[in-house]
Amino acid sequence: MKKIVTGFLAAFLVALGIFFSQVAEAQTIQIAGKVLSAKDNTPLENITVRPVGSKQGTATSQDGSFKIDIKKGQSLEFSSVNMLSKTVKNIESSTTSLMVVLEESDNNLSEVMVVAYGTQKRSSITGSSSSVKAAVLENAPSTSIQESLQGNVAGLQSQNGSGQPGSVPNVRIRGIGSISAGAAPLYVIDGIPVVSGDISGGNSNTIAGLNPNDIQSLTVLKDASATSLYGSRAANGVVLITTKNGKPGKAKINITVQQGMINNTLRDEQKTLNSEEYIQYYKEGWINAGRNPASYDSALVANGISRNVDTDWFDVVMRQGKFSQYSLNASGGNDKSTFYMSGSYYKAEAPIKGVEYDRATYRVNASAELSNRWSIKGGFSGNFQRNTDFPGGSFFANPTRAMYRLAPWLPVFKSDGVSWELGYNSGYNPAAVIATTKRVAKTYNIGANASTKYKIAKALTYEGSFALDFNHAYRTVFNDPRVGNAFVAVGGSIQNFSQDIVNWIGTNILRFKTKFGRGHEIEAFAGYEAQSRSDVDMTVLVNGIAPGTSTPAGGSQIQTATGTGTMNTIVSKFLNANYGYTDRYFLTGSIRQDASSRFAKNFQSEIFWSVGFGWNITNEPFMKSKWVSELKLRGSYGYTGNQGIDNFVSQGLYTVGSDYNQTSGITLSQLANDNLTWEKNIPLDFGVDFSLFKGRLSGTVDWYSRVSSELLINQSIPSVNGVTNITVNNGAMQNRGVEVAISTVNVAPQKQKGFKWVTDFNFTANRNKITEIDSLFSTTGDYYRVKGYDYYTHYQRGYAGVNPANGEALWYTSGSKDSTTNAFTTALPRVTMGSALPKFFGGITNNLSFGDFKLSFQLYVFWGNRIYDSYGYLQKSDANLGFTDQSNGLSKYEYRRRWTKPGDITDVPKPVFLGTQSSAGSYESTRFNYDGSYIRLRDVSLTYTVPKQYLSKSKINNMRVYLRGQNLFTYVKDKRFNTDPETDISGTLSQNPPIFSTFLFGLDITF
Amino acid sequence: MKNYILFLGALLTLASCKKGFTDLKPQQSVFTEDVFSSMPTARAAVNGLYSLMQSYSYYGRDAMVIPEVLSDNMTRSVKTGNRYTGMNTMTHTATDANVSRMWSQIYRVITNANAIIANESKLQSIATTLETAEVKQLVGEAYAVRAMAYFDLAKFFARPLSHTADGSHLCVPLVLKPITNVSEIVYPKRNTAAEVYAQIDKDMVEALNRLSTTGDVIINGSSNSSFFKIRFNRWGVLALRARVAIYKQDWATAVTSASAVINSNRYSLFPYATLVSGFQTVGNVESIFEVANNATDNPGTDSYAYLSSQQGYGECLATRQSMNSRSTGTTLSTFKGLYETYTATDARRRFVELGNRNSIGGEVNVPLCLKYTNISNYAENIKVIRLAEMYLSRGEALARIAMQTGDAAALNASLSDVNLIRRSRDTASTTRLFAATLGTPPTGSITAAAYVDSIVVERRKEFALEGQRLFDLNRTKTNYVKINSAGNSTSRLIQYTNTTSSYYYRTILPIPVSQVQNNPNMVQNEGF
Repeated sequence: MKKIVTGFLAAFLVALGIFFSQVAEAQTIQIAGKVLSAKDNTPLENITVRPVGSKQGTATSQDGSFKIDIKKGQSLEFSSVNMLSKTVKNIESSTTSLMVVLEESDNNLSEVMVVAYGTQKRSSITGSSSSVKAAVLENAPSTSIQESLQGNVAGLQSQNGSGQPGSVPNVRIRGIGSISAGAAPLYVIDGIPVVSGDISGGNSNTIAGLNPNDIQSLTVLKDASATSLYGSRAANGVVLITTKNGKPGKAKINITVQQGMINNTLRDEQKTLNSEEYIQYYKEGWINAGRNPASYDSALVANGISRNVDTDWFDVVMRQGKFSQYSLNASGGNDKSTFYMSGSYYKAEAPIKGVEYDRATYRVNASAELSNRWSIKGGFSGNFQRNTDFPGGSFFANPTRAMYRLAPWLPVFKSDGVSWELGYNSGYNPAAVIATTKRVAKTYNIGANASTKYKIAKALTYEGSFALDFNHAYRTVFNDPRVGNAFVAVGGSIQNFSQDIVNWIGTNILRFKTKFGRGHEIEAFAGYEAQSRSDVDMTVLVNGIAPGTSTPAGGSQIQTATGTGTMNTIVSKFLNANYGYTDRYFLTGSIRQDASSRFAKNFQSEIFWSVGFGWNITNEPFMKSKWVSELKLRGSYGYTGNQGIDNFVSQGLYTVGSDYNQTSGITLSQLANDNLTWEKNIPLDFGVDFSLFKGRLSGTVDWYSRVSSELLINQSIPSVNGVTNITVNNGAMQNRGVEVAISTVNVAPQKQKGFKWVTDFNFTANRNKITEIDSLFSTTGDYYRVKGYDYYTHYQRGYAGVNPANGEALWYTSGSKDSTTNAFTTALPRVTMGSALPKFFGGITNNLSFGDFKLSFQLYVFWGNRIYDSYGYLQKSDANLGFTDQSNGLSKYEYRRRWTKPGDITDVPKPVFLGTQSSAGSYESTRFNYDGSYIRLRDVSLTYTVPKQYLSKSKINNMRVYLRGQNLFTYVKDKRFNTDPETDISGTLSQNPPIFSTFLFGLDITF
Repeated sequence: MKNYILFLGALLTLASCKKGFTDLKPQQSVFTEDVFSSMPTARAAVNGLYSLMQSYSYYGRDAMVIPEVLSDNMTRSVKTGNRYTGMNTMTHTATDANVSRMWSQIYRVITNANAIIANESKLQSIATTLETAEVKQLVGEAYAVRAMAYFDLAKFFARPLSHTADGSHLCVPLVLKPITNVSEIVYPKRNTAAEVYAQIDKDMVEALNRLSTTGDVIINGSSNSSFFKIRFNRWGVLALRARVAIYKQDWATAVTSASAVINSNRYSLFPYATLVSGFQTVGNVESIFEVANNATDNPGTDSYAYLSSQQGYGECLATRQSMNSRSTGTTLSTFKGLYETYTATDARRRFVELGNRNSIGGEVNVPLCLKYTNISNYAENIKVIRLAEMYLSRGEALARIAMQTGDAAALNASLSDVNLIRRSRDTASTTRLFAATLGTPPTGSITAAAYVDSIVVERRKEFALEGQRLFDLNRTKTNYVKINSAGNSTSRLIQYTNTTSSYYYRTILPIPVSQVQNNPNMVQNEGF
């Protein structure tokens, strides 16, 4: 009833306005036309159409059409939430076909953003958060959204240490805030903090199961004000994802097809020498070692080395990869109910033979208004991921290791040409490994959520929701009885692993919203929430497998048969309040109490909080500028926590698994710590949001500081205590930085389909500093972790280069680098050399469109970091290991730069056969510490939108074809890398498959 | 208003679920405070002790291999996966991962044993009358295990007791109380060798006071013969005491303890013809104490067998004379590779048969390590103490008593023990039996001193590759040649008189660097 009254009143007022305007001015002209979206030429509904200087206007209807009467010569303004306003100037005559194209705006204060437990108008937000445009995620060839976020969000660092498709990238928001408790953000999808990470143990990633085309909005919450409602899990930031729902109106069907290829990006000089080059190189080493050149050939024979064998291990391991992606969705609804339904399939074959990734997804979301008080919403989704991998790092069976380290004189096949030669690399001939080893990880996810809203009174709404995130992982590892000495010995093995994770959350919220007095607004909510996660897993390992079998039933000896379970729970109460005054001043406060099963009894419960303010200067009376359409200052401060440690860490435990002669055994595994508690995180943020020159230049600048203290760390204790480590709260770290995100409309189109150039730019500079640390933690290992230093400060023995006089490698004998020695020993002191963390990183995306073509390209910059190649001493042989079969890598680049004669200035020493200038296994030094700076053409796409006139006869509404490429070009500052410079967060190369490039053709059709 | 009440009611209902919601119990662990409140968990805790010994960082591999690879018995192939790199060249450092793992593993055994010992009265209070004897045995076993663990630590990480006249040199820290909470963590100093050996003796006495005089082992409430050799019983402790006594040069105790084991008549020597298969049999006739492995519970590819087998890593090789590239400092003729210590008719030579390294460019015609070879299911127990040792230890002790006291009868008893072993291992040895006299030896006989040296050689032959050689060299200060991988670099001459040589220092292990760094009271061994 009320709605009808309101509608009637509105219509009456509009009519009245029109009536008065007609009365006042005789010279009116009638303008009719359509408003379209610049993005896809679809009609835009609810655009306000208003003569400039007038308070009355009209709005476009569902098909984008409008009709309005104006005075002759008046200008018409078209505006809406989320759109850049546009004015058509000085209209002199009536028309029925005024076409107006509106651009989406990026930084609009009236935009509604997804925030913790709800949505909020951007103008009233006091926290720092970034929303990611759907265009960044839609149709992306990356396997996971985490990869797509790289270079697109200020303050968010995403690094993938491996080209293994579907593996988990490291994502860090505003630096590293934890040592042992996990530094990855919390992922919340449709209200449920989901299980993230690798649950199969086979390079899988639960978050990669999300179809990027299903995402309606993705918001990255960064500071206290934005995150504190996630309390004990908020310290590392939150990635909030909302999936799509239908819109009222005509049903839409969208089909996307992509086909492409995946290529390795290694340059020829990054590959290793061929046989003849090696044999000559080793001969140099032989002579340099003072051995008789005449005996060299017989030494080759004695070591089984034939000049006639020249295996290119890159060829053996690599291939041309393939890529395809298909997606289909349908959506629609009426004013009472909406639906969205989608399915997709994704497949990538990596350029490493045998490495594959598949994904299939399904989702349905629906909502209904049951009455004007009561509405319900629900969603159901399922996904399936399958990937295959090989052992990584130092495993013999790692093909990446093999391609860098196996000697080219080793044959793939025996002299018969068909049977594998297995007399080297401990029997792991990579060709045989690729052909026989099957390591398949499958993960399944079912997500279901249901929520209801009930309007109890005008100012009070109840919301209840329940969501389930069910994950199942299943992994089979098959090792052929013929390949690899370890598996030959046991007659092959099959291992099956499965894990189920049931994660549920129930939330109850009461919302209160009111306006009072003159311009006072209050929005508040209180909630109660319970979340539980329980894991069970099972492992079976059998040896001695029967020919032709692929399940554990085929094994003749059961080696392992085990299963475990674990669980953790959190109960929370929270309260959030926003107060606004005349759209100028905003105050936000939130408080949350979490109780977690993970901590000691006395410390299970903790209260987290935040306060924030916002000042919307644009709305001040004194701020009436033509050039400034938005200017807002904001700040926030608060306290959040981190509970990312194992379940039961505070308890004294004896753990099973110490069986003896088939009777059960338990041993002390953990000391009790009655004082163990949350890691504390205190974020402070000041930011400014602005939009200048009618939206041509808009952006956000933030300065932040984040102090993490009482860090949960694994502290080493004397092992005479029976355990080697305890978990304690000890240490503190600080991250400070600046984030800038700017959008510019460099060239605005003068007419429909005119030339347009838009640039999005983001930049992040973060400084991490350890402010308190236990000395025992500091100086052992590969990082220098001392107060005042960056957490990832590299720490290796100092390489002093090559003595130009004799080609010998030199190392520093003191930390002050004032003396050197040519005799490497592990006793040499370590020196610091840069950090794995970048000085800055960022992305710049240019979108150019003209006519029906659109070109978009993103450059990603990662600058000022250092990378340590932890296998450098084995991949860059100086013959010190002699004729070993598996540590003979040397890239052509290094070979070309080696010392050959007195006077040569280089950092690559002469080879010395079985020399002691480097001793095997402990040759780690700063020689393999590289400048990790690079600039990458991360993403480029060229799109052609088929003009409407060609489609008019078909049912097709919109059709686009495009070419898209990822990682097509990378500028690497330091040429010594023999692989891609992108590593995981720790800045260490560890024989992982390098990052690849993808190139594809796509077709996108909407009905 | 009605609605308010309804929803607030719903909220309260949910809120009331909270109690207990966050109090969870682990599913594959037991809270420390509950372990000694029931017999099943207490039994499991004792099993845990032996399971810890199974680890490749203790008896599973390293405690067997390190004393061999540091001695003249074993070397590493040129075709290698880089295991025992430093040790093979006598250049191991305090950062050696095997060393730090072993240190930690042995202390894990000790701390777990401490907890069992400390809870004796608690266990007795919950035990039924029928279980009283079993509790006694469980605690007795914990004492025995702790004694052995401290003895092993003392051998690996400190000089022999005789290094100083009063044993006042540093040994290892004695930690005897259980530690269950971070508030109880200790940062102990190293105790002296005299203190550590006194504790070992005390623990063995406590063990003997509790273990059944029949040697029977109670498992889950009843006597179970299949655990007779794989859990510590009375004979195991006595055998250990005989071994400790040799290292303490307490010859009388060595004789009484070894005699007690021999006279128990529970053990017999392997027959000559089936020596190899006899040795490899699980629970064989000669074993006194073994650490059990079976098909589902073993160190797998980290096992000693996998390290030795040419179908596995195969990188450890036994030594032979031709591997020695050293020509100065000692002559080639005085050095004997392990292979050359045996005559062709010696059954024990079959544990070091010649063969080829299974790798392109690997060694050809070298003695392989064949004592542990089961890599098909690894169900091969690690032999810790065997009956042969009782004869050789008693033989050595008697010979040394004879030399000290001039007791010719003791020398004769010694000869009969040692010759018993020689006879049973080498059919042709009837012509090579020892004859020794206290005075000037007649033809065909040797001096008592030379005879004692021969016993040490006999121990080398008998216990080759079983983790005893380095310790015999250390306690008897017998100079030796350490063979490096053939062709890799020269072999090392180790002289116990050259006490400032880095090789001499490396005849024992360093305290792991982490343990020096994280414990301000820890002192490093000399030379590291």
